[in-house]
Amino acid sequence: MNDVSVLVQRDCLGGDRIVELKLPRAVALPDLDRVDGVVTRVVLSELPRPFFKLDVPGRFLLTGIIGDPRIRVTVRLSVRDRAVPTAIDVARSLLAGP
Amino acid sequence: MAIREQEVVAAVAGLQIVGNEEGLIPAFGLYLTRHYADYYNRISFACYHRAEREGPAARDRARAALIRAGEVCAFNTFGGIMLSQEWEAVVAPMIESREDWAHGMVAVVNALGWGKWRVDRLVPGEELAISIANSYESTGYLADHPERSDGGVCFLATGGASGIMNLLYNGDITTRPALTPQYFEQVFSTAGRFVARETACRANGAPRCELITTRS
Amino acid sequence: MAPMGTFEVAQDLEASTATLGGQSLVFHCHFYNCALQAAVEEALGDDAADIQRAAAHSVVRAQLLALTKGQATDARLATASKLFAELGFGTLDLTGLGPRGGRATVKASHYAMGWVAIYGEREAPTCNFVEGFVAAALGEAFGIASERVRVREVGCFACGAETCDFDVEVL
Repeated sequence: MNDVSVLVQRDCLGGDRIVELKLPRAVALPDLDRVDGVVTRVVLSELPRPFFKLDVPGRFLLTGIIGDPRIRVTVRLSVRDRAVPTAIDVARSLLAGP
Repeated sequence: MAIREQEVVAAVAGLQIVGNEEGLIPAFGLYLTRHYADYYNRISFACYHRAEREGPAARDRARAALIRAGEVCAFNTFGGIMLSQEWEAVVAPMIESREDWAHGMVAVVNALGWGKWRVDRLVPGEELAISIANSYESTGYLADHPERSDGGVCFLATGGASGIMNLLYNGDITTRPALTPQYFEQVFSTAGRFVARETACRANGAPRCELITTRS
Repeated sequence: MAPMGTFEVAQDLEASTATLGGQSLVFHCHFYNCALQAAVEEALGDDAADIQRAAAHSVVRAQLLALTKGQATDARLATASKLFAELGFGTLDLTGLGPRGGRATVKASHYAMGWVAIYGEREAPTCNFVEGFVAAALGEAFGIASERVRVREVGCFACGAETCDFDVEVL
């Protein structure tokens, strides 16, 4: 996944659980359907820049804007040791489509 | 003014900001709590009342410390919100001027449960006048204590108002700086910083709480 | 009404307020929570812990009274745990509590993690708010008067422990 850039890794609660990535293309609405395990999905589709928030319990919270290539993956405390690989897996899921 | 506050409030209210199974609330690039207004009020007013009993110097120190906690809040919470994806999606498309950042931040405040803030006057780079119909601090004070003859009690709101002006016109949040302790000092402690004062408070019998922020 | 997980917070978008169980709720992050605690500790010294516990107990007990009306004891404790998590304070295990007290545990304490992130570790436990919350939860679950419940944090993440542990006594 060489064309996914890890922009920032930080966490204001003292860990490194927030990973911001830049994808090689903008996120499209159908991409969100490829993220497995989503229990809570919020898409503010009425906004000119639709914000989305997908929560996968036990793993991560994915947020971003439809039409923007930057995503943020906030990894759960219990899997914080795998923050960057988890974030890259999420990116891979989003990009798997056409 | 380009900011459509109702849309901002509705969008933030629609974000479903609630604790996950780890009991944490990641939002706006921060970790939030949905906390008890009267918890904050009771501990803050306990400090203030004890300081008042000790004398004017102690009272002034307590007031400054509580307002400083509000400035820390504003720097990190307001700053974090203004740098967040949620801001980019909800508020940024409405922004036409630097002043719209202030109006946008007040609109977001009005989704946080703090009471209804209103920008009465904004003179770019010089003065911000905010009034609040029902600040949670004055509401809590009046529920627990008799009306006061003097001294406002909206310490958090005062720090918040100071934060908005310092982030916009002493620092520059529009350039997306890192919110470090060093930047906090630069924004809040250097010459030309803005200082907020509560010039009227419901705890003193005023109809609205009023905050004026100007350069020191 | 805006659904909030288990609980329905009553949001008045016109007044910009939100209430649950009669208590006004406001969003704040750990920077403010810890900065305010630091200011309170500076101002009140040894009394700070008691005052924070008492303030927490007062608001949480009133809210739990409203939210757990008609529930059995176990359900009341479960409601308190769910509430703690949904409000963003961490995960609170109250299963070790009985009518004579016991032990409560918090993982991912917002206050303790926040304190360490901002100020580093400390000598005294930091979770005074949680002490009050736990006292309110036990008191309301078992119908015990507030003044008979004593909660003290005996291990804190902010002091280097893995979890935050609370000893609960009933007088």
